[in-house]
Amino acid sequence: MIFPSHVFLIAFLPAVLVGWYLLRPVRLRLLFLASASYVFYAGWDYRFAALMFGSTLLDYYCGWKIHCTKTIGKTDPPDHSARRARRWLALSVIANLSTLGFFKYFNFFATSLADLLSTVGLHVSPVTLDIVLPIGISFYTFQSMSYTIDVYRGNCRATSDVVRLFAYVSLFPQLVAGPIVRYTEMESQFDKLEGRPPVANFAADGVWLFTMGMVKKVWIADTLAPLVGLAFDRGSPVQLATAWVGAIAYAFQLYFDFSGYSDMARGLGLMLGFEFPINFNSPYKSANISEFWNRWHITLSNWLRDYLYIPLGGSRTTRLKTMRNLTITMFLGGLWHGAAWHYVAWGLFHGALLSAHALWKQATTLRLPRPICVGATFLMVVLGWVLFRSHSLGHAVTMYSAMIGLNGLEPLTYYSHTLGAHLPELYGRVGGMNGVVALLALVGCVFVLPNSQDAPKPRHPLFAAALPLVVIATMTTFVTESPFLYYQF
Amino acid sequence: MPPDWPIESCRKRVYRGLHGFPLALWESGIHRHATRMVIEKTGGGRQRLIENKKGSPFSDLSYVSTITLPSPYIRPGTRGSARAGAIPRCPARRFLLISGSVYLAGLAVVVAFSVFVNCWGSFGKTGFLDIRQYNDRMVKVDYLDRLSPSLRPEILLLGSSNLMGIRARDLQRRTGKRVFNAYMSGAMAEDHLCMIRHLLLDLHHHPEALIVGLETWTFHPPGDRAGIIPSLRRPLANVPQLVRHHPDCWFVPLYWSKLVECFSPDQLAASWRVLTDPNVVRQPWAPLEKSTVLQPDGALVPKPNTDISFAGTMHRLDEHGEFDVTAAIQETIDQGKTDKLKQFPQFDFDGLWQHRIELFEQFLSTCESNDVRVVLVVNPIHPALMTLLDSKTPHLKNQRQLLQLTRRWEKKYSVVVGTFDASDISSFGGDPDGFFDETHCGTRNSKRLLAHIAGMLRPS
Repeated sequence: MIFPSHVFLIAFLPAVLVGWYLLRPVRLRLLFLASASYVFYAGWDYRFAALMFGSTLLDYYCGWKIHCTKTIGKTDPPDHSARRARRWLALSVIANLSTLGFFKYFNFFATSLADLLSTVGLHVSPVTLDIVLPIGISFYTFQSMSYTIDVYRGNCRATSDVVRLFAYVSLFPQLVAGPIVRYTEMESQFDKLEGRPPVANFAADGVWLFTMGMVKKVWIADTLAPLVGLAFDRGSPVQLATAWVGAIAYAFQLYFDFSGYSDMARGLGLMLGFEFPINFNSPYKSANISEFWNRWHITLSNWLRDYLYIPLGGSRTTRLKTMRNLTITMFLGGLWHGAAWHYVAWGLFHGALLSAHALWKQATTLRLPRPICVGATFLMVVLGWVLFRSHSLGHAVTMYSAMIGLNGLEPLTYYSHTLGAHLPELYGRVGGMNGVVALLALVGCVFVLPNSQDAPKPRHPLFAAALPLVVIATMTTFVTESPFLYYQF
Repeated sequence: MPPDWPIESCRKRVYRGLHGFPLALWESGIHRHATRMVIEKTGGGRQRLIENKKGSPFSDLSYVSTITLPSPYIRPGTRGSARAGAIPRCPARRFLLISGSVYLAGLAVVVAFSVFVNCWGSFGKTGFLDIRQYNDRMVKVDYLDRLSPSLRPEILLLGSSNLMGIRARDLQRRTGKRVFNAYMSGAMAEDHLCMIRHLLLDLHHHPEALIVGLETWTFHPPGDRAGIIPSLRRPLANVPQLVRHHPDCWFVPLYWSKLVECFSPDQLAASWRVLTDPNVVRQPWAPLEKSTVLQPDGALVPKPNTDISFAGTMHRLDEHGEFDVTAAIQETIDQGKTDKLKQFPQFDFDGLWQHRIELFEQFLSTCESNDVRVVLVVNPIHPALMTLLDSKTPHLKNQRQLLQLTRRWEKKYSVVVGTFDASDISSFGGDPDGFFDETHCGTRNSKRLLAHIAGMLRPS
């Protein structure tokens, strides 16, 4: 089930909202929410719901054991209890990473190993498994794992109530593509459910965010998909203009898709009375790559920072080690996005950019005008997205070749048509508008307009009537169910 | 002001930060408290606390204080001018009330519109407009249902529109049996199964033989636009007599798919066109006897069609009834317009769908248990298109898989009399110019094909 689908909008969401607000006892409400979330997840494949159930149960047990070791075992020698707690943590982390590794990376590592061996003359056929990647596994595994790590570190209390942990891990608005929420952030909100009436203002904001997200996803991101496909999914190599238009269109498609998803997730959270952390904060307005990562997929950046970058030593170390830490973090960040070398290359590319930015900051106090910095950062990000969207490293190289003109230029008539408002094969696809005008309009949206969080959300009755009609209008344009791009990660 | 009353501190925090106010309220416990208070607007954007309810943590306080709080976060007052049933004064609550009502009303309006127009007959005879668009399944099933048992056909032609040109009348002359061409546009494995079950179970009619036209399309996998039930396509879903025999269609998914269909852009556009286009005939389709599209034996009326379009064709007869399909396809190949192949999605897929193969095997088992003889015919397509498909799509591989299956079925089911592979038009002396378009045989080729099939129907 995905948010922009009939079953979600006609049946699931109204039923969940009614149930959620009718039920009163907190435990019952959370149980209802967790059950609804499992139904939501089982919409893809019920077997994977069992996987998530098992993973959550294990983390609950490990978290509780860590808690017991720390509290009951206070009489033990400190080394002894710490060692036991570490063992439970290790069990949780290894189990989670093994699950993720098996489903997501087994085939990748097997084929990569076979390729490596073949380069030294050992030809082996890789053992690959015919397995489907459970949707959202990267997200809920990280979320579930962060719970035990936080309990171990003393950042949060272990919960004795298993229903709470199930509700936290499986919470459907953020289950399959984030934001990656920490247990501490949800625990305080669960605590306040007792006797709490529906928060109308939250829910009204939620309606606004959900509608904005729906429009971004269905009317903008999905409309750009064919334009992107013409550059990236053609059998034959493309030429200069097509490659650039495709790369920029993908940058916008991903932006509106992910931002749309994040808005919808936050909006749904608010409708239920939960406030999720902001995950997307106008990233293309960033003036440097470091700022970009503080604005793009913020919760993943924070997760990687807290559980990987800082334990590695962070930036409070030598310049060389800082660069190493950045590179390792981004390498794993790239691998997290997908089991393929072009994702790894994308991660390393961003690791290199972050390292270069760190060096630049230390080396000079020169500050360029912000528009230039924003433009340069956007250009780098677009170049990175080419790696991200390509089917393989070789395909990315072909795209880069096209972008620097090595594959030649389109005929002159092509440009005249483009500039002249008519080239149905490529540009006419963006909602029937001239493609170039449409892309320019999107540039305006991305670089000038405030983001969804900051946008005004008036309570005028006219808007109250218009927003649901917009949602219904988007529903009537679904031709196929188009999952969010981040679902594949 | 009592020392534990944190209104002042809260008020300072109210105006700070994103969503700072509700969080500040919860942090300070005021929010919970506020829900147990009665607060009245006093004008000028100010609110007055006029009552502390029992159970409030501050219920022992005996003062009445005027506080300033942004109204959205306060429950609306229950005193003063409040009336039962009035729209809540809190803008956020009013916003939600209106949003929710409009949303539910909007959904209801869209569904009501689709049911009212009922352009594809999905909802049966509703008694409203019932302007149904053409569906040959509906017309033919209706015809068979109305026929008296003694007049029902002994031989039926089942298949897709590729059989539309075959005159059952000619076959009747050759065999001396009553024959009906029950082709259904875009028919797939499930259509054949539903049709035979309808004949046997609903009409209690046992045909002697069936001529079943097969092509790779018969076993096409569900596409991106597949609905709730992947093996169910709209034309079949809209014929209640047939769809009830589809093994995948039980009540809930079937009606859910009909509900979802109400929101589909295709159905809404068609409904709108039906309502607004003056050229649309605003009456249900005529029965077969009065049809201008179908002949009495079920074959298509051979004329240049402007009112019916067949999916997957690029070229068709012009207004003069002339058409050089060979030249048209060659032109496409010469111009390298391989994108044009997207107009033949029925051929461009990788591997036959196992589920539809199973459905077809259920069809053969039904025939076997009822002793209905079956002749399988692999339908012809234009040789130029075949060449194009061979070079650009996995069509030939799928075709080979289909032929292997037919051989297997001949061995497995005794009622399968044989298979006639007409995919190569030379097998029946076909003529490249005897096509209606790239995929449909015209009258000339249909006659030649029929001559070969008739030979296979001799009593065993």
